[in-house]
Amino acid sequence: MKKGFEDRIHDIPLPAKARGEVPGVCSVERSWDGWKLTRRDLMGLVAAGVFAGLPRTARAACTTGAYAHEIVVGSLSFSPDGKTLVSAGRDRFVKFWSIPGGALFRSVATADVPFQVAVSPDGSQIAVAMDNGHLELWPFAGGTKRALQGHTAAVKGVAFTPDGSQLVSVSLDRTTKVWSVANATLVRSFTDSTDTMLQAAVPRAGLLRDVSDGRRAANEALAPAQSYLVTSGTQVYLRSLATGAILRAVAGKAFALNPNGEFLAADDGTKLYMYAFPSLAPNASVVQKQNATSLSYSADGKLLSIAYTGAPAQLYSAPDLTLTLETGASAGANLATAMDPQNQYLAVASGQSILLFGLPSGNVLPVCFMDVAASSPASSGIQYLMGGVVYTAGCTSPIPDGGVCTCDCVPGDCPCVYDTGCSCDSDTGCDCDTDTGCSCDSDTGCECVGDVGCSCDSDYGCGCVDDTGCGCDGDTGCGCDGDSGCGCDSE
Amino acid sequence: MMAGVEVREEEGRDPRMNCPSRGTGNEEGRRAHKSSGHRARNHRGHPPPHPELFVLPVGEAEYLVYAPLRRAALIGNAALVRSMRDGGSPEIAAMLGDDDERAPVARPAGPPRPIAATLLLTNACNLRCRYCYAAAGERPPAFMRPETARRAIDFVAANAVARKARSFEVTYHGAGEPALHWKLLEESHLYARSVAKANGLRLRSSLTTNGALAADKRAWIVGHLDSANVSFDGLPEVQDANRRFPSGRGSSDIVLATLRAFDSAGFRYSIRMTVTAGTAPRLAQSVAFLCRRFRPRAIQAEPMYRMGRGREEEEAETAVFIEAYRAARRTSRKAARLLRFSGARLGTVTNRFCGVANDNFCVSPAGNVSACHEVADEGQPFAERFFYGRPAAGTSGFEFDPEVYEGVRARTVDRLEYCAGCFAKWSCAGDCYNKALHWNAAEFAGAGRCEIVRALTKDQILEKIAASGGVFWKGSAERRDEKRI
Repeated sequence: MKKGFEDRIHDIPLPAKARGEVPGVCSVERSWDGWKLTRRDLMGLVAAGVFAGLPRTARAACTTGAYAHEIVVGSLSFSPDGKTLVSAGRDRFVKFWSIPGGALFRSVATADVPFQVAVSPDGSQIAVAMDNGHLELWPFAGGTKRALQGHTAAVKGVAFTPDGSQLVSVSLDRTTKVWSVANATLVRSFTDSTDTMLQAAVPRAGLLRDVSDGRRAANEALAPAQSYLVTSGTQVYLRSLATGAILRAVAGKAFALNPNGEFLAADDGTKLYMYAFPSLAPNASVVQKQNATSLSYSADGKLLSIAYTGAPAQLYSAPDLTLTLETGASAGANLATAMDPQNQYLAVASGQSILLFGLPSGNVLPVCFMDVAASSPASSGIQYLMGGVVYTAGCTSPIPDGGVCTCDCVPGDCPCVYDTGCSCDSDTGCDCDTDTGCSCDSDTGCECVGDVGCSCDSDYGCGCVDDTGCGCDGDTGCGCDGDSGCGCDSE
Repeated sequence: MMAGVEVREEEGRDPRMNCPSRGTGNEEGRRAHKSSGHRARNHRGHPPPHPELFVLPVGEAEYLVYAPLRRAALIGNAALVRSMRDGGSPEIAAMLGDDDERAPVARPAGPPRPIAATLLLTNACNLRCRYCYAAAGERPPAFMRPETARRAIDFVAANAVARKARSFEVTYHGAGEPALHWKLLEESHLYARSVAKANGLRLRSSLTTNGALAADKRAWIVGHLDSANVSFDGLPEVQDANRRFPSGRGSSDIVLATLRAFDSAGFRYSIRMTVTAGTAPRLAQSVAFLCRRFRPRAIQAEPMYRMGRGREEEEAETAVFIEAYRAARRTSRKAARLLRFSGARLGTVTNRFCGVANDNFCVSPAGNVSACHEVADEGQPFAERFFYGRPAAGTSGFEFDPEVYEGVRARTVDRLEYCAGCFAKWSCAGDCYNKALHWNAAEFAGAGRCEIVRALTKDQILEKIAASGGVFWKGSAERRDEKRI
């Protein structure tokens, strides 16, 4: 008898027990040459509830190949009324989507790669921070863009003051600048000698506690309006909005301020912290060991969403930092998360896609944010004309007001003619081994992502378009490229 | 093609021991539970505490821990594996869940009552593929007679009625090109339709073809059949090097025209690629080409079998195939979605690789019944292990040899000692019986395909973990034994 395989747990030889060794787990992700394993802290994962049978949300409604942006989505921001989501993609487009329908109703090309978009508190303006020092203010409803000139390198972060009168920007040129929104002029500029700042926020004024003694402000006089500024680079810095002076620094990179200005949540790649604000006294922390890219509070301050580059976004209750939901499989790097001011939705940028979740349940909503220009040719959707531009939305998305159906279009009831309803998503096998079942024919088209031999149309496989398909044995065959005959010799 | 028959389940078998466990009984003939909610529980009513766990090295000091019957996996260090040998932490136990740990041990009972027929219409072929497992075209041509086809159709339709099935299936295959016996293909299909109509059944019909078809035949297929499986090797120059007409002329242009015709009609088809040692380096290009230009439902890539005309060819079941397959999947999302290899199918939990152990009903041109469509000729090697029936004299049905059909029914992974310790056994299920006999007729002792199955199944597990957040995977699976009863 030939010896068989010995994969059973009690059969496999293990190295000798090392002194002080503790059980550990690894995360796995695809790398260009195979798989990349990263050691993870088992107890940290346990503490975070990863093994506690957390609910995992289902996937969103897009058919395969339907995307919001051609390249990854880098930033999301809701309008104050919660009816519009603005996204910025590395494909140099800022796009406007109706909420909750997910229909694209405006797409605007940017001067350079946008890193962050922010909608002003009154919803009238959009600030777009871009590469190569470009910073612009756009009227939300459309119109003339205003350039804010002064930065000399990529503008990585931007934030409006709570009253909307000023805009703060941070840049790789190591300056933090304060701008007048009304005039589009520079008000102040601080040199960031300590760190390169990547994110900025200005807390609400009225409910602040005084930084000097941490007591809650009895009135606004103790905490003058907009007196603080928070920026982050390798740490999170509490600064004076008037002078730029750093008042305190704590661990954290990506951060978010809760709507009432009482707490600041930050993540430094090893832990998630909850600080009291503005004292920045630590309140709670959770071991994370994942690189958070974006944090966002719900309007009521009770939920905190976190996006990670290499893992699905998570939802925590705040301020106690109890993990309540993992949002399921990612469609790529998750660079942004946002929660709507009406406390109803969570949006997560996942690769080229945007996922929308209901709050507080965290259930994924059947909404597809789809732009035909960014999607594979065969991905299905409804198509409509609005403002002279043809847009395509996912099958489940309603057509926005003012849109006129143009193709495959039944408002609210997309026929999705190419989609026969195969539910093989997320399954690499699809398991149609008898080959009569799976009807995943919503073909998304070869994307040649690996570039290991996509054979372009001009290369292989001359289709002999005039060939009538004679199968006769005597047929000498289509000669491709220039063969005008292609005929069936024996006919 | 799967003949749907009664399946009995041998419960109480401990998958870790590969033998009947004590005290739970092992009743022959017990019918399978049709509900997937059935759970194995111990005498206190709790789920089994220790799942069947397999461990594979995946890094310098990392190990993939896989529980196939609980559909769970994670990667840990040696200390974690040691901990799990002792039962593991409560958190890990919670991750593994309390799923049904019952091994998918099921096999048909009683005389075969198939509701699907594979008609092997002829061994003649219009191509002379260099690796043809059946060496088609080298033997005197044999053609099925119309009464043979009608007898098989009547038999499966009657079984469908008796078993209260809603449909029956007629598939055209062959150790040759079934379309060369075109008249019978047409006639038998129309006959099957009439039988289906008369009995209030739905007919499902498909064709396996080399795709070298004339336009009128393509049109007929599109208009009459449900689906087709087209043998095509990808890039035209690869196809033309391997799959030629007797004259030596390549077949790519004609098959490409067939694929285009199928696409333009929205017809359902899949592509079956044979990969040789010489063409493996071009597999990625071939798959990319097919994905870009055509709309198949699936692309199955298999290393060439060293059988028939390919018996002297260079071994293709090698690490080169594994890397070529991986590279092909990386070419696009579509390729990753469509590409298949028959032995690596993580989504399936079963003890049977294919219908051979489940009363496949393949009728040879001479009218005899084989359990395997690849064993289509009574003179082929090992034919005596697969041919289990023949037309019953004086009746309209078939008579079967219990010794033969029980022999192939018993060829399931739960009875393969060599596979007992393999992590992929409940998805690969012991691979192809016919090919295994060509490797080693005395006993199953693995082959190059085992390494392919193991490597690609491991890839699928890692993909599952990565797609589930990167730390652990907990999924569900189709339990074939229960679904197909």
